[in-house]
Amino acid sequence: MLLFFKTLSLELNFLVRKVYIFAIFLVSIIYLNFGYNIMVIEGLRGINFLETITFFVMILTMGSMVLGILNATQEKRCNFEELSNVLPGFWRRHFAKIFSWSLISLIYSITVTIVLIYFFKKDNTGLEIFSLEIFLFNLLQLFIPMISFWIIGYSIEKMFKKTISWPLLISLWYFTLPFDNFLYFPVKMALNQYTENPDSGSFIHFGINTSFGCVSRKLWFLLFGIGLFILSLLFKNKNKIQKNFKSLSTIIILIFIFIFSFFLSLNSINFSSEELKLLHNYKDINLSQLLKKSNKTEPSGKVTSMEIELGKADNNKLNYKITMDIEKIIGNEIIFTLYRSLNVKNMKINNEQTQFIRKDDLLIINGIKSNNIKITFDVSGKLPNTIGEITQKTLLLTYDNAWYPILGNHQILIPINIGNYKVAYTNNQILSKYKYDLIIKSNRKDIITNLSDIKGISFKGKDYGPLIIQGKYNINNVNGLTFVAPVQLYNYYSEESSFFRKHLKTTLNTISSQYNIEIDTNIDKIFFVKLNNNGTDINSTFKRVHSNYFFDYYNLLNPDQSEKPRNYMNKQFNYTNIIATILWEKINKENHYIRGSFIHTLVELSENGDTNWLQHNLSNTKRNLKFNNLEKHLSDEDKKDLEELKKINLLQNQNEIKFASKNLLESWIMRNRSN
Amino acid sequence: MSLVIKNITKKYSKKKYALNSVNMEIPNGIYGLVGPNGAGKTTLMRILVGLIKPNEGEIFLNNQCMLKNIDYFRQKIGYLPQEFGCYKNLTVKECMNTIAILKGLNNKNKRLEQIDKILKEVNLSNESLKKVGNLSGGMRRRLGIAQTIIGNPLLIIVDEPTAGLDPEERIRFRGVIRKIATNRIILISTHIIEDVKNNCDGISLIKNGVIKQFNSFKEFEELSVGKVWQKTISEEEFELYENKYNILSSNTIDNKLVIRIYSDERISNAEIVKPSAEEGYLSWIKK
Repeated sequence: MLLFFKTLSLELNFLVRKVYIFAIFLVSIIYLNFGYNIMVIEGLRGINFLETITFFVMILTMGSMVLGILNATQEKRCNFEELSNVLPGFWRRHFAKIFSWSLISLIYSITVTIVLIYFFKKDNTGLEIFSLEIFLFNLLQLFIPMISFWIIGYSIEKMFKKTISWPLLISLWYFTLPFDNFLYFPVKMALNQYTENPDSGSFIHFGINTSFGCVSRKLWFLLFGIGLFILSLLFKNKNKIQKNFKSLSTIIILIFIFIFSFFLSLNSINFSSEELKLLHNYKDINLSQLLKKSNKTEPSGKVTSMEIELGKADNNKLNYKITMDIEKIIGNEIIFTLYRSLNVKNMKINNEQTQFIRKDDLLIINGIKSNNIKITFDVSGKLPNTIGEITQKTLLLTYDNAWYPILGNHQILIPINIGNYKVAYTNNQILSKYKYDLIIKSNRKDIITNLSDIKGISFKGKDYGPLIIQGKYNINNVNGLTFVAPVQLYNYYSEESSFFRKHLKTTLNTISSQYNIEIDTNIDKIFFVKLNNNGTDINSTFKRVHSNYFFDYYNLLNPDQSEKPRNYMNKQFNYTNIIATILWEKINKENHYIRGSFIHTLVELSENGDTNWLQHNLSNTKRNLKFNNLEKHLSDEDKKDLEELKKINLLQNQNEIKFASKNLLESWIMRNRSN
Repeated sequence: MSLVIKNITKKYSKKKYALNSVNMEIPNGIYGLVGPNGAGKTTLMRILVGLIKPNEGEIFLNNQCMLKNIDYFRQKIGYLPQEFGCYKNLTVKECMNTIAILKGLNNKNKRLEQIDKILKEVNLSNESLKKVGNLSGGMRRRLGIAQTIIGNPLLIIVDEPTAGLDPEERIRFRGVIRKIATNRIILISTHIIEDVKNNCDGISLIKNGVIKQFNSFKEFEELSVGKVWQKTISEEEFELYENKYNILSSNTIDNKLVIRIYSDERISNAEIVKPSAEEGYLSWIKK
């Protein structure tokens, strides 16, 4: 080992003398500075800048390949090889060489990390707390491609004449470009993945996210480089005595590694797409059933306390144990609503195993003998993102969605028309009318709940239901308002927390008087999260659950933070967004198709009187109803609503359109009230 | 100490032999392996340093089989290839240090001490801080031989050491070889007879993969005694003699051509002469 370190220091000594290495590195750092500070393109700050680092990686891989070529050329020229091949330290020397290159590349990656953290700190992004992640990111995105190309450049240059090696290396560099749209091939090649971007997407609440696929491909590429290096040593050196059984076995093993790891790399493409997968698997949902009027009854019983223990992170799977105390049960049946993809593994009532009937989204328990019970569920499963976000590192579970057993028989999804012959589903907000005692315990670290202003793993309090968030968020109490936002955006948004509160209150009061409805204007918490509705919600940028207000930071993202939040928000987030959301709370939407499909259009009509969008929406709906054979399932109310909308579409006068639209909206609300 | 080569055969194809059942026994001292280009010298050298594996045969150094444990014996062997070079931006001392580390010399003080001693031995002490790229051909050769001595090897193998050197450097180089020859075997492969004549304790001739071993240079010289003839002829006759006999050399003296011929039979009007070493060598390879 001592000899290895001595050889390593020798190799490092050789490298340090090569001024051009440092010139390449210095130029790349200047380029980095140029990209970040001089050539500022909107949005390329913070984590977003890291994502666009691929151009930088391209330059770096080219640079390290040139270094490998220069190393090999120098060795070819100096006639040292024949002697070194018979020296006892032959293999030691060559592996020390790889180590010395790795060390230089590592130092370089650390330098880039320091430079980036300096940029982020200077920019007041708050990202410096992710220094370790940024370093790991750099290891993956800079260090491995860099060292791999260095080794490959060296090995190929060593094995072949320049006439072969240079075209080969240029082709390799080209085919491994990080952008596959540079490559015009009918079949997507896996090769380009070796210098790919990380999978952080733009969802900055993930932090800097790298997937197994990304890591495995990078390691494969490194392995490929090392394999090529060994082959070049075995074939190119004149040390033919080493082509014995051991060498042949090595070659055979290397060939096998090449073949199998290539399949691994191809396979791992599946793992590389965003961790936040769009789970739209509604195949087992019967659309016509959702439109059928059910004999709904008021929930039997009242929840007095609930304790949830969240299981450990299990990729996109949610695991938890929940215990509820329920009182005032009438009759011997009790019903809970729990989204159908969640599996109840175990259920106990008063500590006794209990049988239940699972019917779509309902859990029906018969034979209840007492008015007051303690019921325990063990639940596990995945969820579509409209119901909740569950990943290895993040959670967004709000209590208006049936990710936990909600007492009573509720419709979870409301079908809506989204055009292109498609029916989508939006979540029906299931809101409890009373608060109860809550205990939330978590085996995941640093979660945020509606029960506290700080992150933690154990919470106790009282609210309408459990609200759990996990991710790279900051939470703080700012002037009596709990404020949550991704670390990178926290300072930007929290500066104007009082503005948000005031602005929201004014808007809510305006809506209240405009539509003559009562609105709870309490604002306790503001969350800047990723709403994950994937365009299927009534509002993709805003959501309200009692006094908790959720803004979709992704849709409101002002990446370069050049404008004050209030100005930027006004541009990106209009008044109609809030109206639609608030009215949606007040509308009876269960077993309806038309209301969900038209509420946003109708709100806009009531504000601006322009029927262009209504016309488009109507013809779309007509096609959809026919295509999905839904006409016969439409309720009388739906049919009536459709007729009203058609009438509005025929109106010419803008004021009349506004008035009629508002009237129709009010009629929806009124009916709800009367219900 | 001895190096014993037993029945070494190296085939390049089924019919083409690079070495055909070579047997040699080499004692301590300097030993010359002489042969024309393509005779098999370099192949034998490469087998000895473990660069090539023979098809058959065994090699023993101090009664231990080398081929079975070549990694161990690499530490006991010094090798100077025909084309020796080192990184040009290293100094002589750094180059020696690099090779010493690759040879496994761990202790820094001992290593540097040995390097200084060796450089002194090969008259390169004054050049120790000179860059390898700035050395003359002769100096580079001496650096080459210096690196072979690192680690005090039992066997030193030197391939064509004086090729391309001027006479002065060649003489100096031979002196260096003689100086380091104590208690070890130095095997020199060459086609320059002078290198062997003035330096070697033993000699082997190699031709078409076949070896003929001589215990001394005198024995080698006697190889063609009584078979070298000298005759004075006119220039016009030269072509005739060239076609008929194996002419070893020709000189013009007083407008007459004096030729020396190798022949087992008597040549009319020719006198028998004492052959030179080169003539002995030439007569053998032209056989």
